[in-house]
Amino acid sequence: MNDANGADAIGGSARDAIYREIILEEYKHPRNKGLLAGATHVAKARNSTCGDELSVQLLIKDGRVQDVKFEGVGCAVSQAAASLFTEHIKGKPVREVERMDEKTIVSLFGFAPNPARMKCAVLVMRAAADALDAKTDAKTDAKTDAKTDAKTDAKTDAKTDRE
Amino acid sequence: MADKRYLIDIRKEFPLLVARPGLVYLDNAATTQKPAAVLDTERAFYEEADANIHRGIYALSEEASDRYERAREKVARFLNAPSAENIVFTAGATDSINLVAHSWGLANLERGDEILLTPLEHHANIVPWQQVAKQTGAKVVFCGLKEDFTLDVDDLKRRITPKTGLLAITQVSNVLGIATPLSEIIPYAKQRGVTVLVDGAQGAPHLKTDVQALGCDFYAFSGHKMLAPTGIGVLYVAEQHRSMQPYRTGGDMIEDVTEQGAEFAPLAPRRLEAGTPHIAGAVGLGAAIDYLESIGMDAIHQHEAALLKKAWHALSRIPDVTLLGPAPENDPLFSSRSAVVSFTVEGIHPHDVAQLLDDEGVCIRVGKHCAHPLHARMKVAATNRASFYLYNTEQDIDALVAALRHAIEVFR
Repeated sequence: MNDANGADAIGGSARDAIYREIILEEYKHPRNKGLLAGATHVAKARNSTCGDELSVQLLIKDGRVQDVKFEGVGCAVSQAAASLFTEHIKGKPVREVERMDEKTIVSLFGFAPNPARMKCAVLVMRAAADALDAKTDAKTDAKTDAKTDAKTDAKTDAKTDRE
Repeated sequence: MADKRYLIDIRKEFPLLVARPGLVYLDNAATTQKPAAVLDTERAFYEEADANIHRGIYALSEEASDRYERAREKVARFLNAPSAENIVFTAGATDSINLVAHSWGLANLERGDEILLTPLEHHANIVPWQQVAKQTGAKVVFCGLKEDFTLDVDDLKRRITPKTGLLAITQVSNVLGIATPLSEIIPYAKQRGVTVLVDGAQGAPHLKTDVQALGCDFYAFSGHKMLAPTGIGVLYVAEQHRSMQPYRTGGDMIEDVTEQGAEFAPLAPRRLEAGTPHIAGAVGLGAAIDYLESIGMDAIHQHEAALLKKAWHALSRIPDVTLLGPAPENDPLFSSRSAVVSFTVEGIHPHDVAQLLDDEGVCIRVGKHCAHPLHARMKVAATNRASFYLYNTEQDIDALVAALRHAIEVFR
């Protein structure tokens, strides 16, 4: 109801169409989903209010994104954004990726999600930015980190459930 | 009959509902809409009686003090507290609990003590106690839940030991709407010397509450969840705690101040209300209580119970929907339950559900509802929550169900 575009101005059916055509397609058939063997840069981002979590793995070579994949669970908006964004940055120079912001997501979607959903939409970009910041150059390090993270998280979750 | 007033007249008394006729507002566990009677009373305070309280000799200040203190008396009657002296105005339930955590908790809990909580608590009744535990060396302990996520009362009783200093327990779950059996638990805890705080944020707006019958030491609630303005809340303080250490200090709560030190007012409420309070908010809360009582808390509760049953059964007929908590017919505490339903939809993330529902004008809350530990126990990442109040109608439920079916259709 409090969409920046004015929810009242856009009928329900128009917004549903957006759901159907752009987000749902990417959500149901995400591109670049999975684990990237040989990733050089890895990071995770979490949206604590909804529990969405995404990890992004990048293979950086010669200052370019040679390959990228994502893993994680979340709503249609965060998953669709991850699919669109990873596809968008593939092959691009790292410096260009680092300059991307909310506007990038808006142009990929073709519309601006409302402020609450914007947090879902930029989750993938946050993870990618963290991964690039981390500058984990050694392949082995990236792997070990990813593994350790997964283990610690699993432990923490199990603990929380039991308590 | 009350029903007629609900379905036909009541919505007209809420300016926001009038201004947005298509709106289906089902987020009442988060905050409620305000009736004109409350808004008018708050405005009238500023227009007719605005002055600081307890200070001026002039008549206007006396009028302001009088309106503020009359609101306190209304709250005392509303909760059946022994007197208005047991009522402390705060900024809300969170503030009330923080007050007890700092004033009572830091002074009375020490290493080796245990603070007993239930997994049904809102973060407001968890995090302050974790902070007290950190500072005092006391330990936070949680009791268990049964398979249907209702409180495991036997387990809770087992965890009350000589080490237990405090039991902090919600009256009604903000996620599931289910009640806790306070009339069984509180006497058991009190007989064993345990101090009891009840988080009534989801109780006071919906149930006739009698703090003396409950026998708790502290009872906290927020005004904005029961038609009053935001920023005003209440802490009921049982007689024996009226002299506890103040949480905030400053003006209005002192007897005397010298350059060397200060002598505090000896007893609550003055002792615990430092600085200028939210006077207009308190006056608005008084008006909200008048409004609720003009309809009757029992009538409101009956109306909610009918809505809850209808919503539960309508949603349970949607194949992809899983409702959380016991069905109304399987809930022995149904008579104290609030009209809140939480559910998941197979294959659709709650954020997507909420957005598609919003497109149809249906406002529900999604996420973890400030109850992460409960969601961890239920093993769900997030839930959809619809919560009802006196101005909701059966048509609102129809709209919810239709919007939900539509959302499922979109994702199919």
